[in-house]
Amino acid sequence: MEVKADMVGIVNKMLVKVGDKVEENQQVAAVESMKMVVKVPAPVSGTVKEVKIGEGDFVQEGDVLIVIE
Amino acid sequence: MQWFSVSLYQQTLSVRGWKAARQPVVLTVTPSTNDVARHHMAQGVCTGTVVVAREQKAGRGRMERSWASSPGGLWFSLILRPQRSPEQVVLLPLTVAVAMASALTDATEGLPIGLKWPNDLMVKDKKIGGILMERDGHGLVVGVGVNVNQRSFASLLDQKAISVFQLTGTEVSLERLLAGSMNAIYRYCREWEDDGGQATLEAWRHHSVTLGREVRVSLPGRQVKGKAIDVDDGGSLLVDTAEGTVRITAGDVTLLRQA
Repeated sequence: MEVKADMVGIVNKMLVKVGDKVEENQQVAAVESMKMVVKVPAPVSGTVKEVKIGEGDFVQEGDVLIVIE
Repeated sequence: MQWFSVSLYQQTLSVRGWKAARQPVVLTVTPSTNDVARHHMAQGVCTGTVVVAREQKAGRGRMERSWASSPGGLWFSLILRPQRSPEQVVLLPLTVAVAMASALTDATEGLPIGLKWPNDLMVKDKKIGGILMERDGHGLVVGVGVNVNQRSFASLLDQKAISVFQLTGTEVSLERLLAGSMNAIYRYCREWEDDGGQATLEAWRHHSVTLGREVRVSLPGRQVKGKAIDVDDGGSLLVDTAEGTVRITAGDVTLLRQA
């Protein structure tokens, strides 16, 4: 399952790494745009398979942040 | 002695739609009013709930930078639950900035407040206030910090920050300023709900100290330099550069010189 940014912005926090177990709704990242920090939750429980973006990276709406399996 | 008079605040408050606003959560010292507000939001409190503190020990701005929050300033966080899409909510940082500029001008009998994109409150190119929002689903914490009655700042900060007292020599009631801020935020949020933010954008342009200025925008791994020419319908800053117009949605804006 891909976790995507729902708005353009800069990745403010990346809270997980490959191999981490996450629960549904657990915050996995935060994206900041126009001084609004948006919490990114895990849509499902599982294990982080890929982290595609790092802190400080710029993302467009729809960009994949992490992949959970 | 209680540092904040709730009855004085209530006398000035005219918000009718947010019942929770009448009973603020008043704290003396807290790490961050945003953290407390986020905790309350998770408990399901109503829109309009506001947390105010005399002092924050770990106040912060964007990208987790620390924000000095000593006694004398107004430090508060408001909980909103706008039932709008993320594309529409993105204008709220500008809406709150316009509201705070209006509230501060009213409370100081006319001090003109400029807005640096997206929502820094400025006087004489120094920062008098800032806003940081945190969104979790449909819940929104609106964190506001205003330098009000501080006599001075630490030397490093003194170059960049200024307070109402330093400008006017007059103390402002924090209770009345908080109530006036809530009144203005409520009023501008209602406008935003009615017209999708068009009035916000017009008012923001009116207060702007960014448009018409040469700016430098710091983005991850690169910088954009040019003249800030407008904000678009989504609140993004449009910067005219040698390579054409660049649309800025995030990043640090530095004002380079007067136009």
